[in-house]
Amino acid sequence: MFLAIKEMKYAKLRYFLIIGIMLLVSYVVFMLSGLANGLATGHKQAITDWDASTIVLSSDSNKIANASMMTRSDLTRIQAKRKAAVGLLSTSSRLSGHSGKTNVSIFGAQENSFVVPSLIEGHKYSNDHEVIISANLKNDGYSLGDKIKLGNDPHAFKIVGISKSTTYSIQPVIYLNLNAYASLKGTSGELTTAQQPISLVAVKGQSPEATKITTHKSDAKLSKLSVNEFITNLPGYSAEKLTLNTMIYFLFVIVAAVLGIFLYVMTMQKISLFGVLKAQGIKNSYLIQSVVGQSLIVSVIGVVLAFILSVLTSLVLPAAMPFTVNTSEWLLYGAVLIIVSMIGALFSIHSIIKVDPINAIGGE
Amino acid sequence: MSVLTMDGIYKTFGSGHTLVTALTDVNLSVNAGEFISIIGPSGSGKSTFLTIAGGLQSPSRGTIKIDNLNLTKLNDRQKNDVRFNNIGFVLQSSNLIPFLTVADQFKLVEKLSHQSLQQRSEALLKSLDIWDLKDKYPKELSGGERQRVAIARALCHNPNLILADEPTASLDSDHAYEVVKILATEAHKNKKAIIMVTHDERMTKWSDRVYRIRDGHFASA
Repeated sequence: MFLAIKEMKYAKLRYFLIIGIMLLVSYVVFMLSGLANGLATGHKQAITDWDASTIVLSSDSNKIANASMMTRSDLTRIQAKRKAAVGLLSTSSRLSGHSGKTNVSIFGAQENSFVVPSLIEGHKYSNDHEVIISANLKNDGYSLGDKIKLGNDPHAFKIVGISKSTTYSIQPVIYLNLNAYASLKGTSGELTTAQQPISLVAVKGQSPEATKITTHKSDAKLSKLSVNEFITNLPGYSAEKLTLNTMIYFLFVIVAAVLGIFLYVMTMQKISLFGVLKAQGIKNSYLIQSVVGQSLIVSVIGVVLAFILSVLTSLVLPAAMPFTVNTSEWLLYGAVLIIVSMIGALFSIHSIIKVDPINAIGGE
Repeated sequence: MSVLTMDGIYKTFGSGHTLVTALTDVNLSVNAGEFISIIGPSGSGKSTFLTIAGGLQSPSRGTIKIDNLNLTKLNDRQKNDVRFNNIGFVLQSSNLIPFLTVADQFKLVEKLSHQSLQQRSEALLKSLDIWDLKDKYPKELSGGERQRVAIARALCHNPNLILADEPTASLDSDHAYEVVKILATEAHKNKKAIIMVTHDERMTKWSDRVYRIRDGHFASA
């Protein structure tokens, strides 16, 4: 390492530049990771908040929550201790007397079911015209006691509770009871309670395998799946994640190539020096260690600086930007970046071994 | 006591009608305390001679011994160790590492040889009058200073054999004489065996023996 460090001190500018490139690429990797996680969280947060294990959907829905149609009577067909009927709807919301609309995800659920989030303000809804909003709607001017209009429903709903910030389909979340949900679906009038629509049933603490569904001849077919499978099938979730992750994987290759080429060029410039050193009996292993060591130093410094810069950036990003710092993922990606940089250095090893010390004699 | 012994050394390259004989029947024995010069025009085989004497390539025939180690019987790794421990090289274009200060050149040898060379290198730098240059990089030195540092570098781990390849090639006459005198003094005072390869007749006057090499044939001058 002695030789490696001394050379880096001597040729500061070169190594600053390559550390700079390492820093920028690592920064992009961390930012993409933050965005990928931010988007993923934006899609699924409200679902993960439930802490459920199993989701039951209608079989016709092809595992897509928005396409799933069930009735409240279906709840009794599912054998589980803790189960909740959930209605799901994506619509717009506006404060009464205002014209500005906000897109929201609406969950219908009985007020005592486990899917209803705990509150940071107010109380749970106790009738068909009360709602709980997630705290991120406060940014749009919503507050406790306000009246809101949802979709084209004629009723006004009163905000009685506020839960912590959460999202579904990257939209803030509103909870209300199943009657209100049926009303939003435009079906409340002509249906009995048992016939009211719901989208899915969430089951807590019980795997899909352990969850039995009774199906009589006339019943619609239901499918059960794990929460993870359900999340993977959320619209856009997998595609966005795959796109951003693919960019990250490409960056790993780019890092290996950029650092590899840099070190290779540096090695080529030092071929005659390596010849002289080898003539003096300095071993290949020491010279290789030196190049790989430089790669290690450059990548560690670059990654650490990028890590710090990314954390600072995450603090100043606007709240509207879906960005989640996943420290363990950053550490993993940082380690991968360092490892691929070392792999990049391997390009140079062959050239070092090939140098014939004979060339050091005779001045050719 | 003989430090380097070369016995019936031949070196050929190629085969059949492309066969080139670079060295023919070289016999040489250099004792501790001897400074010998080998003189010859370019293409005479003196580089080949030096690479074989330095264990950088094997002769086609004959045996070569350094400090009683038979080089022809050693593998590459062992020859590497011999070069590192038993031989000091002074090369034409100076064997210094451009990104190390003079002091760090010695520190590298110290680290690789796992022995403390501080006192020795300090004494060498002082005796060669380059102590003041210890914090300078090679490019900040004059040609003569560089070769003096290179000689100190070759001597610092105390090898018995010094191989100098045209050490005066890039120097003006005054500095060239100075460098040769340093080599002669090292040989005589500190009992080193020193072989200097040169094409410059004037540099041989401090040598104990002078050999001429022409078309691979070795002869006493």
